Amino acid sequence: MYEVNYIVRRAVEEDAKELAKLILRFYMFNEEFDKAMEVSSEAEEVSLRIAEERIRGNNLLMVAAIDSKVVGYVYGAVLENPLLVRKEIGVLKELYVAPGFRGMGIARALVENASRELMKMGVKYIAAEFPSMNLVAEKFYEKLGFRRFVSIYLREV
Amino acid sequence: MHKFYRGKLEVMAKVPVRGMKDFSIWYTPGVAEPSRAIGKDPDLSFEYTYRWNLVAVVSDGTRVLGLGNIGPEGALPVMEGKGLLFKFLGGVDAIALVHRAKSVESFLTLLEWVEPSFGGINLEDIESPKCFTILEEAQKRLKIPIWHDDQQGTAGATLAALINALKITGRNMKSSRIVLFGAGASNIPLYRILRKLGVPAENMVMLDSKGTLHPDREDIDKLFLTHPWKYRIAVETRGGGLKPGAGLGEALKGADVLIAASTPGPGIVKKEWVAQMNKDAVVFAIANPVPEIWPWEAKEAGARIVATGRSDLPNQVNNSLVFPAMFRGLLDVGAKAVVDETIISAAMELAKYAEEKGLREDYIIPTMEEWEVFAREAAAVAVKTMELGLARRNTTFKEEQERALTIISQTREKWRKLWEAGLIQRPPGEA
Repeated sequence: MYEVNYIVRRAVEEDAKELAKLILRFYMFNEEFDKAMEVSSEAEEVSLRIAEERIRGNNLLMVAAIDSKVVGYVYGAVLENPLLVRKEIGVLKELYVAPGFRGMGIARALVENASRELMKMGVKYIAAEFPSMNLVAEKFYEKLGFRRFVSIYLREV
Repeated sequence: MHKFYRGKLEVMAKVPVRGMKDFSIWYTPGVAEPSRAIGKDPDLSFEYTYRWNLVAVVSDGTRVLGLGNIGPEGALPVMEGKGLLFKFLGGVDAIALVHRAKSVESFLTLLEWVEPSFGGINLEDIESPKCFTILEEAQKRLKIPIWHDDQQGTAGATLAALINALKITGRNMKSSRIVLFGAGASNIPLYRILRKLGVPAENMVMLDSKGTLHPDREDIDKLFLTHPWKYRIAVETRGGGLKPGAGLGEALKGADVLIAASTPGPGIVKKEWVAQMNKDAVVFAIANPVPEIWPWEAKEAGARIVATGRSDLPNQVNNSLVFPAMFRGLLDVGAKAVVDETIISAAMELAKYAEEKGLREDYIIPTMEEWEVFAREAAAVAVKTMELGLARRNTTFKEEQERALTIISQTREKWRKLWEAGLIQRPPGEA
């Protein structure tokens, strides 16, 4: 494989356009697993708006960059439940690395960096979301020490 | 003809049966001793039985030749025909094993279950990409060589022709720009083999029906999930430096070599595209029955060397140059596996033979008539298998060459004698 140096950092304004592409890719990837996640025809325009909103927002958004090129991202949030001892839990909602840059540990670095940031925000647990059929993700997260936690079932109505 | 002969092969005895008494040697009680020995050491089945020379030609009948899904019984004539080629060209005993195991897992289980009967397995007519999964997984699970001709046979024959084509045009393989058109059973292993020979990934580009395999292609994540072989090539080659979705015309600009193994032509590869290739270009158009571009068209467009899959045109890239001798060599050393390095050694021997005969633009690979090359090829395979530690028996190049030559020529001799004696029936209407 090619030797490359990447860094993981918080997303900034300048990342918006490239980030939007990756977000769209992420959704197209998930579409492969479940037709309930079919991507809308306007997704291309919407993804840019989403990227900009997220960069300005309070949730966790980190990117992996090689020089100035964004090649991966992770998007996470803190969920609160006052009824629990651990009132806050960190959730990784989206994780994506561009195909040309897989197999170099970028996804892992994104997860670990995001986890650290979420810990700073006070959480003790980190969860990760992905489609049930995504066995690649299942293997990936299990390797990083994640376990099965909550199941979401779906039916058409 | 098929109805007249009711099949093409039969089983014949090869031991003396001087009288009924001899059956006590070959059957009970004489057979107990080898059986007991094999019971203790299963590998002795390669020494005491016909297993060492027996190959199963396996098919589920879902994709036979160009005939589509005709069922296992429908596949039988084809598999038996393959057996005939095995016997006649390589002296290999091959029987058809058609079956109803549909899923990948049941197919693999079937192979595991019948493994003790055979010295090798020849998989036939499996669709892509299922063929990659089955071959790779079967090679992991079984301790006999597993072969899929559409993959290894075609890749091996293509490599042999490519080696000599590059020689004639004064090219170094490692610095040549190679375009692989078609991402099916033969080009995918060929890519892997070229990498093993030191061709840098970025010097190659592969295209399927949707264009260049590229890490930024729309459907790349679909490939990631459904076709990891294409995916890996897209990522490794980085689309050969082309734009995602670039077509063959784009890819051929400044290319040295085109290896088209895609859909039957003509007109699939356009003359004006070939014209954009480098001087003295090498064009292989190996789709059957009609090549992607006719040789004369490719030549008019400036190609110096053209090869096809057809026997009526020069430079035929033909699987039959590979698989019979390949198995001859593998079986003679009781091979536990066949790997890319084995295929490379066979291809190099084929190439060397043609070179010794004298390379010409219309002679870069031996023809089927030059069957003495098979013994050399078998010897190269046997020696390589030993070197790789994959052999159950030892031999030398010279010894194996002689053995292979003996086995193949004796097979032909027996045939000729039977024919002359009238024991092989004359076809109806022929004197």
